[in-house]
Amino acid sequence: MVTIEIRSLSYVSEIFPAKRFAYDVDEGTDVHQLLKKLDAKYSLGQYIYDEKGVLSDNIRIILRGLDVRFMRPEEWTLKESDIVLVMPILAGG
Amino acid sequence: MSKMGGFFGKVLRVDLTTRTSSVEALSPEFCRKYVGGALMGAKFLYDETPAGMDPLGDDNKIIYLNGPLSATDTPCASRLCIVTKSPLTGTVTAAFSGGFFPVELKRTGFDAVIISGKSEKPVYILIKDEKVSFGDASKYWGLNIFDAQLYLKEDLHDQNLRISCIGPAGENKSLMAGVFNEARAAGRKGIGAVLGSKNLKALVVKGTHEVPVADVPAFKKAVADILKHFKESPMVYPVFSKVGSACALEATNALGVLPSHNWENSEDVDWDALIGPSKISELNVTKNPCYKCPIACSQVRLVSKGRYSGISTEGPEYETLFSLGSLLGIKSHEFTVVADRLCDELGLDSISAGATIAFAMDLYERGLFTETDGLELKFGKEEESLRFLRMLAHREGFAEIFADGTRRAAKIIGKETDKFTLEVKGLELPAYDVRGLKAHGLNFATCYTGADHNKGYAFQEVFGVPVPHPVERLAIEGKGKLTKYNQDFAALFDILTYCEFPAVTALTAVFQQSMAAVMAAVTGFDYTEEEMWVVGERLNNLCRLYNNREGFTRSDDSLPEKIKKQPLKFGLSKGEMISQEDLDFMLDEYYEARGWDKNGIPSQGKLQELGLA
Repeated sequence: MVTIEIRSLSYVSEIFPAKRFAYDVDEGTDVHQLLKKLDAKYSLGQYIYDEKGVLSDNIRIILRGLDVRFMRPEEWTLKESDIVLVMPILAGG
Repeated sequence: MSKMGGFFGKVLRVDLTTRTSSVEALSPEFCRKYVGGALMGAKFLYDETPAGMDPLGDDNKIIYLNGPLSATDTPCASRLCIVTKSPLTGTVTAAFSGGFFPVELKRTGFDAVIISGKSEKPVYILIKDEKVSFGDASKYWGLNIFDAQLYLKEDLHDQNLRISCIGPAGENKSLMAGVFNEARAAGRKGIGAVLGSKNLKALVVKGTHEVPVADVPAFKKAVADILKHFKESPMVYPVFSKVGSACALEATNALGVLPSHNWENSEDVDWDALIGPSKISELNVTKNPCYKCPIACSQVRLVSKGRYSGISTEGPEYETLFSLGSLLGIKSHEFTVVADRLCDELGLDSISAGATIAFAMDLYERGLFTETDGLELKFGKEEESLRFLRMLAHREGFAEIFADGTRRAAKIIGKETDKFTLEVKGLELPAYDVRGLKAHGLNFATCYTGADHNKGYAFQEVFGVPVPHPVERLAIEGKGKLTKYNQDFAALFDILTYCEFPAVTALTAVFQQSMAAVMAAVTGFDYTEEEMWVVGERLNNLCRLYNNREGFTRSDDSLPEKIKKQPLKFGLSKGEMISQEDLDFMLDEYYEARGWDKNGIPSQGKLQELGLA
């Protein structure tokens, strides 16, 4: 078992128990498998997948500081203490 | 084209030395090409002022402008643009504010007001439609910006006047002084000091002219399309209307790019929980929207308990939560309300003022500057920070050393303290730790007026907006092209004097297209999406020409030492920095994308293409 931290922002955080919370996954789980689990448990999919079921351009999933969209598949595997940030499009400044 | 709308085709010239004014016609060709706001202002400044002039001397000009959409029914177009040569940076600059003054200025019937010369005594200018007069401002000299507006209205027996003025900071020619209308700040680059150098306390306006619209049915359709995009945005009404720009703090904190402790980021702190949008919004009492703005992002906040009970402000915006919060290591959201209010009263740019205090705290804690008249300038100190703000505006005691910003202070203090300044071309960095936002950093390095976040905001990196495509914020490659895109994108709202916030939230994917439609309808010119991009690019090239003429070169397109040599210590950007090698790579790519040579000089071909040769 690997314990990671899920973080989320703005309106996406309302579907989770907290803006930051610990979450256990099986060893070898990758970030996309994690998202499927979170979708099953919290109905995350409406925020992160487009109509074709692929990761939407309107969301960033940040793993170890990097956008998973630009990571190589071999980098997707979750490690102990990893932080996964679910970040919808925001604004401000 | 049946008739030209949007423009009055007139510019008002006011000479403070002779206390005279005159009106000049602007040709339709000039109006179409230079449009308004930052571009028209930069054109006047470039053509009419000598190279190398002292920004605080008689030769400099203060140019007030709008764009063609101001005072029409276009939502979010009540923006004021002030163009001058910045005394802080030595570059051409354009500063902006919202509220109601911009619309009133436009209704006087002029597309621009160009103020030159210098008054011997404190003066205000009153423009009521075509009638221009001058008043003795001696009794208002020394007043804060709220009292100055209040008493001018009282004395002129008209509560409907709108006023743009300076506070004590501008009068004392502090290079971190802004120009204020209502509680809105055209805050940065020391433009308040330029008014102060001319003994100009205020510009007072009242207008009755309606702005002509060339094609009313097309205009109504264009406006309806804009409002539809607002409504469909998941951010604009659900989030931005409720908390305003403060919502940026949630993103920067999460990405580990919210600077603290003079960019030492020496503590792993969840600033979102302390001073973030949820926390600061606990103090919301009402809103104060700009003219014709359905979004109403500007929040009025009141502290209702504790030591600061009873103090209210319009704000603080995101930038001030940083500059007078995390950057000073101050963890009280209530303090940021008080400090924001005080900056407004004094007429100070809250970003540069906060950054300068943070710099002084950094030096104090390192033992590099301790002659502070007993003021214990440690991070986290609230009362000391408020005292220091007042001292900066009045150039009091040791604060005289710091009143012109961090670059000049480091030069006076010596001891290699420039290693601890965070500025580009003299302008203090705003609230983004660009070690973890590479294109944003490149914009800080190359922006024509120093480290200005609004003139090339990398909304892809900070907020994840996938326009023109999704971006990895930590990548170096591709950031030159992206920065050109972002700067030319931002230039358009600075030229049209359109609000940045809807441009980068609801309209991002269709901004040039939407603006072309509304501009064509208002002006009667057949503007296209492509021409909107061209006018944006024209601004960035014209300003580059101005700065080259002033002697700026590639070596000025740089970043502070902490950004280049000191990796971030905590959070999701831990280990990141922008090395000189990375910066050089991005600069080469940027210059190439711009059609500039390796030294950042625009090619003749590019200038001809943009009509600037």
